[in-house]
Amino acid sequence: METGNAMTHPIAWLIWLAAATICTWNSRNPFVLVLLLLALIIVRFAHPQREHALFSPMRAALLVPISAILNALWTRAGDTVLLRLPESIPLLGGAVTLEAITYGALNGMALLGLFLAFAIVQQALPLTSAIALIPRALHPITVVLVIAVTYLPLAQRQARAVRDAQAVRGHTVRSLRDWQPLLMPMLAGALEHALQLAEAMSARGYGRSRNMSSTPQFLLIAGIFAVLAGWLLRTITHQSLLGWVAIAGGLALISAALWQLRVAAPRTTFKATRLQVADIYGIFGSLTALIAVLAPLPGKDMFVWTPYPTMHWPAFAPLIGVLLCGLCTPALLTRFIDNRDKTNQTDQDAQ
Amino acid sequence: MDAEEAVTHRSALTDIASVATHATISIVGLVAFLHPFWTAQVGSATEHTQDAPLMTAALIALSLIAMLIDAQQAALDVRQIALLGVLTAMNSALRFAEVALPGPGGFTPIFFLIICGGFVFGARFGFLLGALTLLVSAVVTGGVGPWLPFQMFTAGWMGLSAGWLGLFSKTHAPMLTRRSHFVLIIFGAVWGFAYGAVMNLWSWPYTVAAEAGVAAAHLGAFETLRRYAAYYALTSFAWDLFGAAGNALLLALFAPAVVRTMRRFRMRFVFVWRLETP
Repeated sequence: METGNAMTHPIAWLIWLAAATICTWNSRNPFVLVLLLLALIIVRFAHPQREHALFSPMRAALLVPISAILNALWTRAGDTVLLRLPESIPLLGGAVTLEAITYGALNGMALLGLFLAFAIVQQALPLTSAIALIPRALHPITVVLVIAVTYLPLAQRQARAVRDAQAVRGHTVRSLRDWQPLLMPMLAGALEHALQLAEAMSARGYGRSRNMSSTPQFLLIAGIFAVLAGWLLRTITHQSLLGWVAIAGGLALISAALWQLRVAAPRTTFKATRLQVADIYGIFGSLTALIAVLAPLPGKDMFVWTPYPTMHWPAFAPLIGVLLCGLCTPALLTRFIDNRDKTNQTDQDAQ
Repeated sequence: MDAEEAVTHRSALTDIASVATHATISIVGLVAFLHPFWTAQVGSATEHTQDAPLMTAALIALSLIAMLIDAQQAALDVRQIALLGVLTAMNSALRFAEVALPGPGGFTPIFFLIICGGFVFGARFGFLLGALTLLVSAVVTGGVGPWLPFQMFTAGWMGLSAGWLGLFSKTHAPMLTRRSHFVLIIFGAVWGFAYGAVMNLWSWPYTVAAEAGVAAAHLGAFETLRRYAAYYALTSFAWDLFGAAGNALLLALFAPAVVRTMRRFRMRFVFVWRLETP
């Protein structure tokens, strides 16, 4: 297997990402957050690293102390005063409390969890699978992305060629202004390439085949407003049920709009990806973690924990902890598949 | 209704849908980005405010989809698709170079091309160039995260507003006038700060504004704004200063040549086949 991971289907990974995101963000209980971070770290190390990644776990871990310090400087709530900053410092002056530091650190841990979850999915999914996740309703945008991704290596080669050609002419880069002789041939080359590509696409019959109806756009707008109204109803007027109804109605309208656009953009699939057994296990593990957060299980109150006004010991429900471990499923599957492959290889060598 | 009337009717509906989409994403974008201020105003220190970041992310992602669909419905033909793909790749290559050789502070070369692209090729094209550049470069450099829809949306706004700015420039001549050049430099500098300020609205609730939702829901909108200004000044102003100065410098040095080249190519791109009437 190319990437070494057993769970390969993009939908399975998308469900896993949704589960990891919802679990992480809905918890401020330190025990739960530590458990979730451990699960994410295990999955992270089960997958190979990518070069030139912006995300670095060590750099991201700094979020925890930074968030703790910032929250301590801004928040004046909490009973356990550790020190007092001079009141003469505008906005920052006042008591620094243990509760504010703790809450800031917990926010940082939640943020770190979100970063890790996205980084893992990016490591695990090949680029083609990620592009396949884009809804068919956005077909022209997908074509743009495919062109961009395929042109990227060409652009880098072109940049090297332009640099070499200018170097032969004696051009050296001493200041920012000297970049212009490099930038302009690259830009002109890129635009020329776009013209040729457009002609080639037209020659092969690519183009707008029919006038699109405006109905999906109106449905989409109505759906977005319904979701917004639902959120406002829940937040401002505390009408939770009505809010959820509005959100569900909005999502239904948005789905209808995307479906109409999907039907209007016929597309053939060269190589369809199908759910494998490992993907089913992965989805099952993700759903298990989601149940822990969303279902009315005993001890679910432990998710909503706040150190304010006075620090106290957080609760922990072992059953929910076990269910959250479902997020580790991709790592377990990878380990299992690796061991099975090694055993098969040893058997073959022995024969 | 004959065929010509049907086409006119459909075109009018498309225009209305487009205006409605722009209005919707503007309203939803403002409500979503500014949620720390109004949640502090209503003082709802409940569990509902804890899901605000998730709801905000969902609304921004949905608005982004609506805007992408509007742009692809109204603006994209095969030439623009190819142009957009190639310019997105070129800009993403610049981001790749930036990751390999980081500039000082918030300096980044990618906004320069988004501004020039929007200025020359129009608001919708600018929005797509901004949003897709951030998407492709994030995929290539491993920068995909919960912040990405916000980055795409903000960079899209940058390209969109650059397109509006282009409407006031003399577009029949390939050369950039001195006045337009100056306005473009100021525009780039302002967006250097604005991009950071808008993106901080995303990260702020995660790090500090928990107090606005949990511990200090009594804060009014004005006090929250004051605190945000202090937060921005303390954590981001110096960083964004490099971004603004970098944008202004790149636009000052390279915008005339880049805009001239793009306008020449636009004349080759934007041609219309007309049926000869008997």
